[in-house]
Amino acid sequence: MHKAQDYYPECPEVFLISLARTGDRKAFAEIVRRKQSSIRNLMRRCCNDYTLADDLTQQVFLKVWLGIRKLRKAAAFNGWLKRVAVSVWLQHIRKKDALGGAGEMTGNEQPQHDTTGMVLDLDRALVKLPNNVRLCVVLSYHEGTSHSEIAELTGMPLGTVKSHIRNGAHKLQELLSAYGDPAEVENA
Amino acid sequence: MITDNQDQLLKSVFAEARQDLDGEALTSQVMAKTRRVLIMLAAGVLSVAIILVGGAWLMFGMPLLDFAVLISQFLTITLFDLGEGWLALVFTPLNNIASLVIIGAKAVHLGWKKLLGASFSN
Repeated sequence: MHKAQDYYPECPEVFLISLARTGDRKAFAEIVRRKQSSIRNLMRRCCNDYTLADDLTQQVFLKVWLGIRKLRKAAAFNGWLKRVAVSVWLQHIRKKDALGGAGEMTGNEQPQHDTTGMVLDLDRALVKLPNNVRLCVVLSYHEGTSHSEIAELTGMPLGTVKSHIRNGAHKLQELLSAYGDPAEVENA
Repeated sequence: MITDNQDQLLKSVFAEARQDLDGEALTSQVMAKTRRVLIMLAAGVLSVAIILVGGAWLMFGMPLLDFAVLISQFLTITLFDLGEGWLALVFTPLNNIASLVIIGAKAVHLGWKKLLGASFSN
């Protein structure tokens, strides 16, 4: 006989979120399965250390598990998840700064086994940006988040966000100039 | 100043970098952590409950016990002096304040039901 949980992989997301809000751990596991890739990608772009990115992703989902009952609307889940991810990343940076590692991220220079050269180049280029600039650039280009939403998520003034994105994009463009024009990248 | 073409280049590089990652291992790690958090929360709640109950017992336990003893002594007071013979033994379950209270309560209950039944029939 089939259990209700057997159908979770085919369930709509909103339904799973509503179940997770009632404490259904299997529904929450399915949400983690669906969302982990996006959060891990975000964290990987932010820190260029895949082990750390996975640790931070776990922290994000643990916070989500602890707070999901307070979420009023299931439809607001994705925005809230992004907010939790940004707050975990900002907390990590602050902790790092407090411990004296106030400099920029050095990143994991060891090649990651499942990455292409271009991904490595992008991550290495991102690491050269200051923390706040990197976060704004990643949220804008990787997540497609609007400038005003980035300002809200990070607590930075809108003007600062815009200038961070402009400067960061310019710097990245210089560092990734070897990739030439967009048509070449798409064909690569 | 970054041009539209350059902006497009960056967008395509970021899109290319987005990988579809297998999440089974990470999901099981997250779920193991949530289980640990639940166990810790339950242990915390249990500890607080034990401390509260223990504290309440220390504060109110002895007075409550004294009160219970007083009540039981009061309820077992005999109504009629039947001496120490077999009659006293037979009537011991009924010859006390407790049985009077129970019989009284039952009578009030029956009277109340009768009264309500009469008012409904009217």
